[in-house]
Amino acid sequence: MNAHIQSIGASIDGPKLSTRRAGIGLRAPHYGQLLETRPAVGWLEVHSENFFAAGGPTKHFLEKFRALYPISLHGVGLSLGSTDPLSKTHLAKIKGLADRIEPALISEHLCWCHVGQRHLNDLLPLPYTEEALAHVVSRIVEAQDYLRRQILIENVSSYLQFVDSTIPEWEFVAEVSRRAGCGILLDVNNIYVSSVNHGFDPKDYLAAMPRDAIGEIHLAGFDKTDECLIDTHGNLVAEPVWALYQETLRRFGSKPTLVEWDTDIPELAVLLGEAEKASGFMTAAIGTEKIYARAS
Amino acid sequence: MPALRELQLDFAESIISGNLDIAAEHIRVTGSTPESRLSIYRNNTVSNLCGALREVYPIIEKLVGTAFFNHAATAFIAAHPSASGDLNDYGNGFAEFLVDYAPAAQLPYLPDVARLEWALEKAYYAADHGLLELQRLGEVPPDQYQDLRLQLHPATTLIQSEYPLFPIWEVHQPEYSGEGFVDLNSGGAMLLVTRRELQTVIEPLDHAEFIFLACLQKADSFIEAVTAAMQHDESFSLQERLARRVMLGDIIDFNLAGTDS
Repeated sequence: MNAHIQSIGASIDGPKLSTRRAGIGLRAPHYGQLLETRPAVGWLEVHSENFFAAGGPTKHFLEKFRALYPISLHGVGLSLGSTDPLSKTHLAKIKGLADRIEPALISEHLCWCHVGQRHLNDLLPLPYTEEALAHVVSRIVEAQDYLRRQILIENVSSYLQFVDSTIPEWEFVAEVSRRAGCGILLDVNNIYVSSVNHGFDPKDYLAAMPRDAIGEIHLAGFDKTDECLIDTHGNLVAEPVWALYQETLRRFGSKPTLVEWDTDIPELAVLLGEAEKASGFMTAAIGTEKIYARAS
Repeated sequence: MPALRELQLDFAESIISGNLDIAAEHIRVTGSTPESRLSIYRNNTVSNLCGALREVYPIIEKLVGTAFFNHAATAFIAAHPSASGDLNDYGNGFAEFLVDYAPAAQLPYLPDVARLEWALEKAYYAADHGLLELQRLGEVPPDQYQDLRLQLHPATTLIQSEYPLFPIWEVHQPEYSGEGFVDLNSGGAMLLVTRRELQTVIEPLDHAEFIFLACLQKADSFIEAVTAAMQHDESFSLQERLARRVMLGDIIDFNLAGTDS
């Protein structure tokens, strides 16, 4: 067993990120302005894979930002849910990056990305079955043992469900965290997107989440097509997602929150505006989980 | 086969081949069809990989136009699925693919442009390396030159082409202000692609220096490299060239380990 994972009913290890100032996803078009103006954001989150390089500009810039802000590493390619063997090469790169950067936290997605050595480079949903649960838990434990630390696992958005699924997604997520001893990165936008696409009540999702395991919250904007919502990270956070976020904070108290924006990346000021809005809700929510617990 | 494995293999085959009905039996949707929702994932994968190629090969896209580029990229993706969870690894082999890509047969210079763009990509992400002190190299006694091997920066690629690659690259740079016309018969290219500090660079070389650096890259001895360069041009100014490459950081180290190293 991994000595770094203290308890099986997971709670969050390690340094805490701010519960008053939201963080932002660090994206290349904003490097110059961020370094120049050093806005008061809580922290910066990067996609781990974009900083795997042994040298050059990406390494250089991350070291600069690391001196100014706490950093979290958010992986998009480890493919924890795949039935192929876990990639030791990929894990070693995450470990090497983490050793250099000493991130406040490391997160990955509750999904699969490749099989039969072919990578789809997308966050693909798992069927929510006992088999998939046992499989993904064993892989998260393997990753945490290798990295010698707890990681956070993010719920993904989805556009379809599997015939095989027997467990509600929210129970699956909670059970993964409990069995693997990992934290949860609760993506509120993803809950909303999937709730619309599959017709469930997002409050049922929140109700199943173990409060102490939630180490981070994500917010982002989606796109709407004729038949469903698509998680593009290319828009302002939608009003119903802000409402669900406030509900989340009322329920769990303030949690470190991050605003992501990955396509049609706007001026830094727009992203900072979203982070400022989240920070306002975070500050207002400090301590509210106790009130919520008494009232409910 | 375990159910999860079978589901993933069917799903991946559906997405990569575009035959969405392969995975349809696993899918439950409300208010739509399995194929319609699978097509969202298919589009995501293809557009993510297309986007990765677009970032590596901007000049190819400018040369052929976006519609043609998207066709070529989609055909490449079908033939060469991604092999890494890091999208930045994707795109190696596009040059070789273009050699045999029939719709591009009228543009025989495209593969070499792609080679240049992939070399720039590799240089961008290559490991850092400090400078070599020229004095250290000067202290190697001449009687050890047959065992002396000079090492190029890890960002280095040497590219030879019968097409004018350097002007083709130059006219596609944002700061370029000339006519934007390149005579394809204006001569070939011998290029050094590397990175100096944080800046990727392309430097046109004369033939003798190209031979010299190519010998170093395949770990020929210093003597062999000098001999080859001077066979081509007996006035090859070795001392001056060597000093310059060391000071620029293009040559970063050496060893005296002999042929077994």
